[in-house]
Parts: sequence; C-alpha cells; structure tokens
Amino acid sequence: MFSRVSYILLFLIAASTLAANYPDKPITFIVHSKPGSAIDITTRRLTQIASKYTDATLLVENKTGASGIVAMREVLSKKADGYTVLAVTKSFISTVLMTKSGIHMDDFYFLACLVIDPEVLITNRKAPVRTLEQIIRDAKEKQGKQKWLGPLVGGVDHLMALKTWEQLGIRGEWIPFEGGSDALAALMGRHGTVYVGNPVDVKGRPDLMIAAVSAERRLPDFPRNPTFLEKGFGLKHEVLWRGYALKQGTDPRAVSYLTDLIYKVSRDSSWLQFVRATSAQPVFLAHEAFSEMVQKDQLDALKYLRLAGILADTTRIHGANSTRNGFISLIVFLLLLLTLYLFKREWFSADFIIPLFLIILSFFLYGMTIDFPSGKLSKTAGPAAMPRLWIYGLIIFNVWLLIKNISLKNRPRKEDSVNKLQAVGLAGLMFAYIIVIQYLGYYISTFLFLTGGSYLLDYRKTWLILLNSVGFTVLSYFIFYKILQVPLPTGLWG
Amino acid sequence: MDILHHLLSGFSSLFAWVPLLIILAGVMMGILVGVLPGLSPAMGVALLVPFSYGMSPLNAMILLVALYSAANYGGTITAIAINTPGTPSAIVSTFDGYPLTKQGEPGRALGASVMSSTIGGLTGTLVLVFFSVPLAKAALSFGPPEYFALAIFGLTIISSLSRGNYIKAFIATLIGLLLNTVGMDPFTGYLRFTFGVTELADGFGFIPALIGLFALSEIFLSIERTQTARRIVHKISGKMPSLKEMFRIKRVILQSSALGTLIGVIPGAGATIAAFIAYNEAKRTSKHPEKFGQGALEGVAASGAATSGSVGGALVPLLTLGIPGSAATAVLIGALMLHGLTPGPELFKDKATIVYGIFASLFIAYFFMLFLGILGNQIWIKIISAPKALLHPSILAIAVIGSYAVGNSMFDVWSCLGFGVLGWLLRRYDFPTAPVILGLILGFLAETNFRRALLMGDGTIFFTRPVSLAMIILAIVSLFWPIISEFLKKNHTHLDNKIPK
Repeated sequence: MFSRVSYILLFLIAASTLAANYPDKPITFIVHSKPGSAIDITTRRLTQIASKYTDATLLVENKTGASGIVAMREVLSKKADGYTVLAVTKSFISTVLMTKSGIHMDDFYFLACLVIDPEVLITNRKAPVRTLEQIIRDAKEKQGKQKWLGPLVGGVDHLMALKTWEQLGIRGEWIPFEGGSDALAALMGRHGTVYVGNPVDVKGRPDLMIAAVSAERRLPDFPRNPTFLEKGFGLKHEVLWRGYALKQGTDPRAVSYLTDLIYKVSRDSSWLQFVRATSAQPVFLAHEAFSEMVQKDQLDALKYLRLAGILADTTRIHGANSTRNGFISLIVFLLLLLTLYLFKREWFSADFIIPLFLIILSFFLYGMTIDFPSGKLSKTAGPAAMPRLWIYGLIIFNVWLLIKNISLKNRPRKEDSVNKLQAVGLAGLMFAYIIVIQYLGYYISTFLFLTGGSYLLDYRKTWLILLNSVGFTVLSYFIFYKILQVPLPTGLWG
Repeated sequence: MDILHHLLSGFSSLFAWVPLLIILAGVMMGILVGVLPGLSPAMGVALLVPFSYGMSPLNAMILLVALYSAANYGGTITAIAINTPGTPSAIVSTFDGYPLTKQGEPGRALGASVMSSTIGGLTGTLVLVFFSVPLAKAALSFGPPEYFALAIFGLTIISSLSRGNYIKAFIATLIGLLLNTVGMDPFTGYLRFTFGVTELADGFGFIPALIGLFALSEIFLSIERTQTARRIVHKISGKMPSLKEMFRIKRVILQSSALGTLIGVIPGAGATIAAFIAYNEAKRTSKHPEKFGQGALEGVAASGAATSGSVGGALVPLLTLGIPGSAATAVLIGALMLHGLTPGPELFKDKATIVYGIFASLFIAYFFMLFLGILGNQIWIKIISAPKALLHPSILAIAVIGSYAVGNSMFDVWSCLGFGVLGWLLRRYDFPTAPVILGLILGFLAETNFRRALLMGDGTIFFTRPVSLAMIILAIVSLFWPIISEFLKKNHTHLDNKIPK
C-alpha cells in the first residue's frame, strides 16, 4: 500500500520537473519577523495585490529567529526552484556581518527592491533640544553623554547614528531598546534626546518632530522639515530598503516570472497608495541596481561596525575551551557521586545530588562567562554581568540547601512513585513521536502516538482509542492547517 | 459629557446585524486562540489581519479587538481544566484553578474565571474610555530605571509562590533567570550559552517553556504518582459558583481588575506580570492566605480579572500614543495603519466614530464572552471527564502542535519536551515550577533595563527617581512580607491578650 503511494509520489515529482511550467505550485514568501511587523505587512499586501496578476497561490510564512538568520537558512535549505522567496531588508546586512552564521549576502539573488524609507532624526517637540543645530550644540556640551535612542546595537538605525556622529563631528551614547516603539516611548517620556528612525514614526504623534531628513530634497509629507543637505551635511542617501530575494542559482525562468510579477505590483495604484500611506517611497530597483545598493551598504556597515568596536578584527575562538571545561565538570561531578556512593551512602539521594549538580553546572557556566566580551559598548555592565549575578545566586542557595539537608535529621517522606515506568515510557514515546514527525509527517505520527500512548496507559477499549486518535488528527488538521494555516510538517511526503 | 455622547453614537453604529456578528465571530475566534496553547493573542490577531483587508476600517478593528479581548480569557480555560496555560498570562490561573479541577470542581473555577474576566475586561474598558489621556502620560514617565524596579518588584512575588520552601523557590527562580540569558545579548550581539545552536540565538521560546513546565510536567508526574487502577477521577461537577459566592469575593475581583488595567497601561509590562502581581496582592490582602495554591476561588478570580483588565490597559498607550504595550497590540497597530488609521491624539479628533465604535464594541464583546464562556464551560467539563488514558496523550499531542505553531519550528517542540522533563524533575523533588517562569519573564526586563539605566547614568539613578525608588521600597517590603505579617500578627495577638475580657 505504502509502496504504491510512494510510486505515485515519485511519478508526480518526475512529472512536475518535466513539465517545468513555472509556477505550478504555491510560491511561499518567507518573512523573518513576527506577523504585524512592517516587512510582514508589506509582504502580505504584496502577495494580495500580486494575486490579481497571477493564478499561482502565494503564501506568506513567518520564520522568526536570530534577527533573520532562521529565515535566511530556511530559504537556503530549499531548492533553488523559485518557489521560496525571501523578504529582505537592510537589517539583514548587520545580521549577516554580526553573527558568525556562515551565511553571506552573496548567497542570495536580489530580485527587486520595492520600498525605500529615508532615515531621519526625531526629537521631542517639548524638549529644549529639537533642531539639528540644538542637537549639535547640546552634544558638544554633554561631551558624548547625549542620549540617542533606537533599536538594537549594530542595526540600521545605530549605523545611521554612527554615521551622523561622524558627519556632524559629535559623539553620543547609543541606548538600545527591544524595538523601535519602545525607544519612541522613551523619547516621548523624554528619557533621551534623539531617536533615529523613519518618517512613519512621527505620524500620529504630534509631540514628536523630524529634526533632519537624509534625502536629496524635503519629503512631500513633511515640507517644513529640513534635510541634512540644507544644513551643510552630506547625508543624503541613508535609507532603509525592503525588497525580495531568491536563493542564488535559481532557474532564470522563475527569476523573470517573479521579476515581472513584482514589477506589475510596483505599478499598481493600490500598492502605491499603501506604500505612501507609511510615508515611504515606492520604487522598483531591478536586480542590478538592487545588488549594487546591497554591496555599497555592506561595505558601509562593515566600516561603521568596526569603528564602533562591535565587529572586532580578530575573533577569539573558545569553542574548544568550553568543551574541555564541560568534560572536566562532568568528571568532577561523577567522581563526587562515586565518593558519595562509596563513603556516605545515606547521602546518595536527590537531596544532595541535585544541589551538587547545580553547583558544578554553575561553575562550568561561570567559566564560559569569562570569554564574554567586555567591549567598548558595555562599559559598566557587560554581557557577563547578569549571568554571573544569577550564577552567584545559584551557588549560594545550593550550598545553603546542601547545608540544610545535611543538618536535617528526619527527611520528609517523598510521595510514592508507583508508576515510574509508565511515566518514563510516555516521555520516551513522545521523544520518538517528535523524531518520527520529521519522517512520517504530522498526521500519521500523531495517530500512532495517540494510539500508542493510550495503549501504554493500560487502556484497552480499542474502538474508543481509535476514535480519539482519528478525531484528534482530523480536528487538528482543520483547526491548525485549514483555519490557522500552520504549515504542519509533512515529512517525506512533502 | 462629550465622551458619553461619542460613546452612545459608537454604540448606535454597532447595533446592526453585521457588526454584532463580527464581534461574536471575533470573540469565538479569540476564545479558540486562547484555548490552544502555542497560539498567543498576538498570533490570533495577526492571522485575522488578512481577513480584515476587505472590511470597512471599523468592522476590521472591532473584529481584531474582539479577538484580542477574548483570547486572554480563553487561555485561562485550559489552564484551569488541564493545567496547560493557553496564553502566557494564564499561568497564574493554574495556581488555584487546576487544584479546584482536581478536587472535582472545575465548574466553579471556570465559572469564576469567566465572570471575573468579564468584570476585569469591563473595568479596563471603562478606564480606557474615560482616563486614557492622563494614564498614557503617566505611563511615559516609566523609563529604564522604573522598568528595572518593576522587574525586581515582580521577582519578589516568589516569596508568596514558594509555599514554605524559600530556598528551593529561589533556586527555581535563578534557574529561570539563567535560562533567560541564553541567546543573543541585546546590547552587544554576543551569543551567550548557545553552544553553536542557531535556534538558540533568540533564547528559549517562552511558550514552549510554558507548555513544558506546566502541562507536560503535570502529566508525567500524575501518571507516575497514581496507581493505574486508582486513576479514576472523582466525580466532576459542572456546578458554577453562585452569584452570592462571587459577591463575597468582590473586593479581590475589583482590586485585581484595577491592578490589571494599570499594569496593562505600562508598555512592555503586559498581562502576565499584571496577573502575577494581582495574584500576589490578592493573597497578601486575603484573610486566609494559606488557602491560596490549594484551590482558592479568589486566586482564580484575581488572575482572570487582571488578565482581562490588562487588555483595556494595553489599548490606552496604543490608541493615544501609538505605542503598543504588548505583542498583540503591536499587531493591532499594524492593522490600524493598513486601514489608514494612525493612532494618536489626532485619531480621537478626526476619526472619533471609529475610536468610540471600538470602545463600544469592547463592552459588547465582553458580554458575548460571558455568554459564550458560561455556555462553553460545559463542553470543557465534558472533555476533562474523558478517561485520563485518552486525555493525557492528547494533551501531549496538543503540546507538540502548539509549540510547533509558535514559530513553525521543530526546535521549539524539542525545547517544549526538554522543559517538560525539567519541570517533572523539579516538581518531583519539590522545587516549584512557577518561579522558573517568573524568572524567564522578568529576567529580560530586569537585565536590559538595568544595563540601559546604567548607560543613562550611574548606579544612583535607581534611587534618585521617585517612581523607581518607591517601587524598590515596595519590592523590599513585599519580599519580607511573610516575616512582617508574622510580626504584625504576633503584636496583634499580644495586644489582644492584654485587653481584659
């Protein structure tokens, strides 16, 4: 039965490659950030408008994590057949440079750039420092203590700030927040002086104003706000861009099909309206122009990341170190266990083993924090400060627990564990289930797991078990796959 | 008066078939999203955004807001019924809700949860309608030192979660705090404790951790500790709490609603911290705090009221300042923009019909939620009356698909199982698991704001700002509250003895 299915599948796969009628299956757009983010909304809008111009099904899938590395890896792991498109933004450059993930911008074929959003400096209208001149004067007075707010260190806005400081001949303190809106709230609450962002950030926020725009001329939506150029500074091309890319080496037919499709969207009136509503500029930069911009931005980012001390020229390799320390810790722990077992049998129980284990683990993790950088940016409290504080706490409390357990005469009786085998069995079955999902796909493995699980728990009403397993699988298909559009793993069938 | 006038016209624009049906659909979807672990309110809203494209701006927004308002309540259902918080903020509902279920009284817990959630939600909405402008201004005064102080205050709650064993509760918290530091350092981009695993760059997923620590550990532990033959649940009663019973705990409900709303206003604090703090205060001000954790109806009510209250609270900075106070409101802001609505003071002037339509829809949504909640409770009770041998594997399967749905990644499923085994081991040896979650939630808030505050000034910054100083003092009082209250009680009885009878 199964072999017949696989033959049919093989035939289908063969047929599809022979036909080469792009597109003959859904095209998935991978987005690196959460639903509702700017790039996510842009992409969803794009696919919605694009469906006017194509019969192909266009899907949007969020693959969040590691500032885009997870999404990039997802696209690179797929075949270069043009069915997986990556939504890219300028922030990917910093991500690729800052994480040693082995991914490079050259791994992608830049299809087209659709949105350009100029970088701007934003200030609080109610604060004493509002205009570019005031920013410069205040920064000089504060001698590098002026607070600049924005998202993540090394990101697009931070690089813009570094560049601005260089051009303006000032220095500031970059205070990073989890996201743009947190930093904006801080600016509104006057916890800092300047926010680096895009024009959309002042929309609907009458307390905020744009102090300077990085563009050749004033923005149509903001005719009263000056450009850097007018004030005598050369920052005119600093933009955040959003576009789409494919895995390098994609079939030229798919490339031209998608380029054509995206071009049509970029000329659609509802698209233009959508982009302008976010105070950004709708553009269409085809492959050559787009790639050139990416190249230039990458060189720029490299320069400023080095300047700020975020990217060191030499990196210390310490992987081997922590493996060795791990081994040593493990051996120390096992030796301690052996000693306990041989000489202090009555202490050979969880009351002693758990705190001992946690103490040795703490020492091992402390060893890892020694390698954490202290960097120019971290000043008083670096990346190691908090983990160390928690590690000290763990050691202190575990030692306390040990001492308490030693002095304890009558240990409280533990609740019975009458069914340990069954519980471990079920956990093991779940382990197997998660492995099997990747091969047999979600539906078959779920059915098998539920049936096996009930059987393991000594339930013998076969019909009820089957009903439950089938019912659950069917229900989860409808709720998760159909309604909520979660792309469930299909395993080898996919 | 102006507000009342606008609000009335808001109601009148909703009394038609289409808007009412949209609200009903939104509430139903919200409860569903809340019930399913792994689907957060934020994801639910995001999933509906594409559906709302074709609708009028008002209809689109009432759909999304209805979903958001009901999702937080939905999470408490599974928390009470199967110890699986469907949304992060529902963790607190497991503390007393699940013990009630185990005692055969899920009807009381579920009923108390839906009623208090409704009251919390309505309170939040009233505050949103009448006090949003001054509250939003106050929320802005929260800078990094204040957030750090809030995190520290939140951490002191462990002293009330510890149930007598302080040392183990502190160890559990520290494990959570340390697990929280895994991943990319937000200030330097350095990867901490990731051992070369890419997926760990963002740290452990919060929802998989939650499902593992609560749902999985409970299943493994309860299978381990009960004889197969005895694994017959005692009679499950679907009886709702009487109105009289609810009236008796009105103080807790109102207090938690207000706390939930206020904490919800602070961007970045969110429903989970609101629920924890409300629970702590409910316990602290209760006449019989020893019943908390054993199935106190007040505990369930405090959590429900605070989570729903925080919804109205979170909409305050969203609509008045355009600052999202939670993950779900971050998606809502995107949806508003899509429909050409830019949140902020101008929205109240130019698009008053839409703003007050949204406000009015919230009132209606909470009544639908109450109705659907009471109706739905009987279904949940049927489900948990199923034989454990069918129920337990099904919950594990839901845990798998739920953690997968968070980020479409198998890594999250593995970490869910990992946290499940960790939780099982911890609970087996009497370490509480709730502090681990508290550490995971507050670690990030504490660390980033501590370091941010130090970038802004020196160490004295925490003590020179009034709000921050007040909260640090509160934290110290809260930490030593058990000792203080003991002392007060002793003094009290001392005095009582002196008074001649």
